[in-house]
Amino acid sequence: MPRLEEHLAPRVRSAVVNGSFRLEIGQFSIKITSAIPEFADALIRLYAGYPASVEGGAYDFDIAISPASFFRQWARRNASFVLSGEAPFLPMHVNHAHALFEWGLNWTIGSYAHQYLILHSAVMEKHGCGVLLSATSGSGKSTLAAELALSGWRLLSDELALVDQKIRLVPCTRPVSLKNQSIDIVRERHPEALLGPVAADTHKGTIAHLPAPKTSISRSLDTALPKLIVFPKWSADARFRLEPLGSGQAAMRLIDQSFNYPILGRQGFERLVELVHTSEAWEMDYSSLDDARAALEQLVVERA
Amino acid sequence: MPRTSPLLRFLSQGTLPPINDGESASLLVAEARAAGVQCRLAINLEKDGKLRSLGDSLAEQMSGAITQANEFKREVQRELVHIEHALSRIDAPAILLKGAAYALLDLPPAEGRLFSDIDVLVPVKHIAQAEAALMLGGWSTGKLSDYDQRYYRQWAHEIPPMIHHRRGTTIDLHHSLVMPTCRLRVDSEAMIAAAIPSGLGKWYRLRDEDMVLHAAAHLLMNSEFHRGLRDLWDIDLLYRHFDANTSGFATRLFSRAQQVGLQGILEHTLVLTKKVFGTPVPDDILPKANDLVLRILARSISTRHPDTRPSGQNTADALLAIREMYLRLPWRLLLVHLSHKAATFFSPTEPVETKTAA
Repeated sequence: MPRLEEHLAPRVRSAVVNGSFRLEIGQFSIKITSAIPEFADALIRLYAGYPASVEGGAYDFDIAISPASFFRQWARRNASFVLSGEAPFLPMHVNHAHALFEWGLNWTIGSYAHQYLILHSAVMEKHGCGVLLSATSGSGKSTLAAELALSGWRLLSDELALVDQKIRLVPCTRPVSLKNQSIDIVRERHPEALLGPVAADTHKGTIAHLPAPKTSISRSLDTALPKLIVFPKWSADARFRLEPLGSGQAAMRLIDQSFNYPILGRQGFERLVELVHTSEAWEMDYSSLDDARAALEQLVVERA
Repeated sequence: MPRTSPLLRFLSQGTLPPINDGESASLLVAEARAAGVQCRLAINLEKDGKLRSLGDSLAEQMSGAITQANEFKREVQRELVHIEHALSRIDAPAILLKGAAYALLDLPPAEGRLFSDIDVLVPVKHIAQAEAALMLGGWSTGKLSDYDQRYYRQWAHEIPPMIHHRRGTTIDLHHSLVMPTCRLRVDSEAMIAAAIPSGLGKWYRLRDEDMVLHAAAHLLMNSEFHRGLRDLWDIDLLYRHFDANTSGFATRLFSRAQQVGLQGILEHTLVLTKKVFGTPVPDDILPKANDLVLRILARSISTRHPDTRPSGQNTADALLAIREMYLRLPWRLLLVHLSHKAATFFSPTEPVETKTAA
């Protein structure tokens, strides 16, 4: 399938409007429909390197980014996230539509892709070593994922670890969502990186997305084997600390950060146990991205 | 121009889109998701060995839905044990209704049915006792405005939803099967009085006919049509099950409907189930109704996916919402209720519940 950037932009725009646009994000084929031009432009920028079709066909999820109701349009140009005709969230300003799409897609996968055990975690790979970076929001997980992705690691996801039946990590490679000061940090450290449009003052602060590296997108159907589970925690004055963590502890923390662990019942438990048995768990406190990257690179080199 | 609906086709004829038409298979799953029946669809396809004909990717998603449905059933059973324990303090029969009753009795509509509230009914004179018992068990009604409290306590057929402080499960505690203020003269008490022990723990259940009638009354008198197709499917499955297992079910169902004042509701419901699911209701017993209300209902209780829903669905929903209000509340109460809602709508100071993207 050709990549989005290989289609003519007007052709893509009309396909997005008339419902014949499909975007391939790893295992998932998404039908994306929208009459909002700002959103189509952001999509073309952030997903340029992804396989895409403008001729319809099968899809896993049908998502629309729709203008809010006729009456609301008069007050403010809003956009709603709509999955299969239902809008689970409040509308947001059109300038935030692409951020809304990313959140909505996370929600969709977390609510309907129960073939996977889904953990709230970034997933990276180097030297054949799959690494989960599991942390609560605000722990610098996405910034670290962006740093690694821009330093030659393969990006599988900055938000969702999808663990299949054979305990493989299934890629869901998408733009990395950067918040507030992370945007400047990434810009400063990697001036060559082209970020997508900035969504200022969303309910989560200011958001900009780093498009996934081309090499990661081209491998978005190759699963990775989990070898390491790292719980990173950034704070401005942290002293660097890297300590092993017991598998029981790791399991408890992953359950806390899971989207669908209780929904999967026994299957969820079994996959989680196998995951923490096949991977080593570490806890990492850091203030410098250089320290964190160097430590992770050493860990994967030792295990390659 | 809406496309033909693969979901409605599957429900009426059991046929799936052709293997080479991946887009229609995708639409089938999307419609099922919009109707809240994705798990039930998955279970049905799995039983017939047809899951793979959706294509590998959708089949994977559907297998996840089956895992979810099976675990959900176990979770409901666990929760029912907790509720039964809490209610063991009261000396009145507790009747399980709707989804939870189907799950307890393992009736066909329990397959793949996800729901968020467990509906329990106790006779009205025991309602305070039951509420106290559930509070001791950890459930309580959250904060409600004075108006909402009064709406529930004085007019409604249930008390405000009770939520468990740790597990977050919700119980709707009822004392009647329909709003007591309802304009239709429905003999809810006769149905409650006829409830029988379920044979499973201390739970009581409605009789077969009453279970169908209650499901029908609930579907047509509450305008919750985003789950209408699922609820209609429940009724089709219940009807087929009882009809196959007891002789003369159809006749008993119709005469019971007449006794309790739900004849019109039952007729409308069965015309719809027959139309959508081909429910085997004998023609000589079911009048060929095609009145305006029925035509409006048929538009709302249908697929709700934007690509396939019947034209005029929004209008039909709005008309039925007005009809529901009309049926539920006599004129005086209706005026009080609507003026309160209007005042709330235009008042800027009223706290508005918000939902934001995760």
